[in-house]
Amino acid sequence: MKVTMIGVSGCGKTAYMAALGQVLAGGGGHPSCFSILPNQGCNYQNENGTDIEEEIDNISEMLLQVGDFENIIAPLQSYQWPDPTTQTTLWAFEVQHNNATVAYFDWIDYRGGVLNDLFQRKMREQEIKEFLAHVIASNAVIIMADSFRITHYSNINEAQVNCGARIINKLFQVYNKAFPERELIYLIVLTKTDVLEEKWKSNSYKALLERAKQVFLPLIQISATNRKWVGGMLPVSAVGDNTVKRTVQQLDNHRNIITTKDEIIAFPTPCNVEHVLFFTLGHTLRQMKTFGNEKIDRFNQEINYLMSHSNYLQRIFAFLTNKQDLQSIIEELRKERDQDLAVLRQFETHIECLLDIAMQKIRKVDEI
Amino acid sequence: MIYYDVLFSRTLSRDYRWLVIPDGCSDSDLELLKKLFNLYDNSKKMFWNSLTLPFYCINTLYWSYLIQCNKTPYTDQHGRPTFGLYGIAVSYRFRRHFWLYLPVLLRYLKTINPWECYDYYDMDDHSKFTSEIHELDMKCCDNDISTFLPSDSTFPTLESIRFNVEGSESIVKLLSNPEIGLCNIAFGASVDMVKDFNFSIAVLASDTSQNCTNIAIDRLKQSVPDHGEIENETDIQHKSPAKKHRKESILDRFDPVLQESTYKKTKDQHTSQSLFMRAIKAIF
Repeated sequence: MKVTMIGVSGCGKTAYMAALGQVLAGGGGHPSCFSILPNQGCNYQNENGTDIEEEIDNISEMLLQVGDFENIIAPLQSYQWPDPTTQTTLWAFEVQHNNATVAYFDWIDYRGGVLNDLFQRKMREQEIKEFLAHVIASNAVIIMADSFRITHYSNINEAQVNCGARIINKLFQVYNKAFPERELIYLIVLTKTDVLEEKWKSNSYKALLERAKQVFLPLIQISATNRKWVGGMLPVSAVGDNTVKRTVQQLDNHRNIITTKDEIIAFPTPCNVEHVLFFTLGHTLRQMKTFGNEKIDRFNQEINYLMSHSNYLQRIFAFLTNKQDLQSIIEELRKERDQDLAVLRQFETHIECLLDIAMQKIRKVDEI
Repeated sequence: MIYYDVLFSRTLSRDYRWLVIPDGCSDSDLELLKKLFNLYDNSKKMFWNSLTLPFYCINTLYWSYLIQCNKTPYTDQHGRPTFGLYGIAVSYRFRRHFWLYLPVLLRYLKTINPWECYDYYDMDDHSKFTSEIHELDMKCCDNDISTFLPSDSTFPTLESIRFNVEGSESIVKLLSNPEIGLCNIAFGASVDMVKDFNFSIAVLASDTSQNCTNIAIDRLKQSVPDHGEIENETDIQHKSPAKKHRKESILDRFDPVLQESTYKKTKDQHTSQSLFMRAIKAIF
């Protein structure tokens, strides 16, 4: 499974990954019994089992770095922010349920600058193509936006520019125009809620969600008309409430540029981070279930059709012409269908469980 | 000798990008330098406690680059430290001068603060600057260069050079050796840099630098030919791509995205489709 995470530089993508690692890969045991197991290297392996790093380089020119959860979890737990990533990073992990593998994840964290470059013709054509190819080839897209920047500016347009929503809206308008029939699972993740004033957080983040809806309105409008899109919105914090001391400085009054400095003052207790994974996994599995059921229906139709044509005459004909007889082909089809059914039964049990947990915190965009 | 500035870094609100480049610098060169910066970025913790800065000399088809990677004096909009790659670029026309005056240029490189010439805050609004043209006074260089030559005419050996302050003096003396020709050099290289770049001289910067072995390829003389002698620029830059193979998951069979994406693997001959078609052929 492949998830693409996008957001402007500094919106909290790396801190989010560190928090996700702390919650699900820390060995603490999540109540849902789901956990993640970071893969050493990644979900790709060389045919002869060597030089995995070289393979990674060749997945894409843009994927220059393989993320290591340990490198980012350790600083967070020492009250320090993880180093910002300057490159597009691949986080590869396995999702497990009671220690049994549910799915392999390739979680691609795009460098923040990619969004600015995309519509300013600073990217080479090849890079733009690769970026769009990654979005298209993803089971889900995670859109990260700094909730402080969403709420700080009174002017909506200014907030859109500063939190990256303007470019993200534009990107999805292009996407919808180019691929109107394609299914899309997306989640708008509102980061850094730990530094928000109480008025934005009260009543289950009602004010923040309404504000974010205004900021991402063009995207949400597309989603409302395109039935193939499934979207949600979720406020998260990588460190939890009352753990951050923020200093804000107005740098240039004319351009309204602010600089911020955040200090972690208590042990991080991430908030809502696992729901992002559960949402994407739950919806993707649901999509797969539909796909799997259709596949099994096709098998059944084919088997029924062949059975109606299977008779002694056909067997004799097959014997004389040295061809495989229908009965054995039907048996093979049945075997494949039963294999698919077994896999389907294995993962479909997780779907409702994952979505139940996710939707306790996530708001569907059309319900805000 | 004419040279230009190069600077790759981030500004207040905008991500890492090329800020200053010479006019005529190719995309492949910029990609190569960016790759070097990314490798520095991956291993930058090695340099934090060091009193000396790493430098790299990279020669491509049309340009020679002498660059450093370091932390900048600024933080970004989110209060995070920023890093940069900066240095000078010299056209192939001045390659021989570049090599001759490299020891002087290295001394000069240590004193460069790119942010003195380019305003950090001003650059936030601009996408890319074309470098100003600088001219090196060679007469002054001739006087300077004699100071690097060892008095007893013996030059340091690469094995004796460590990534530290003394090492930075020694490598300058080593490069003054007329026996050494134009080549790619890394003073402060990570293992990944050595793997990915064709360095003829590489002084490793590792946590256990006392035990590390530096790398010198036998043919130090003219290991990078002059312009016109290189048939394919990528020969000195990149490794050839290898095939990739994805781990299979049992869920892959139901992944609609995977069915269409580039990860799609060649399906086994006995898919339901081919089975069904074989059956149809058997009937008719």
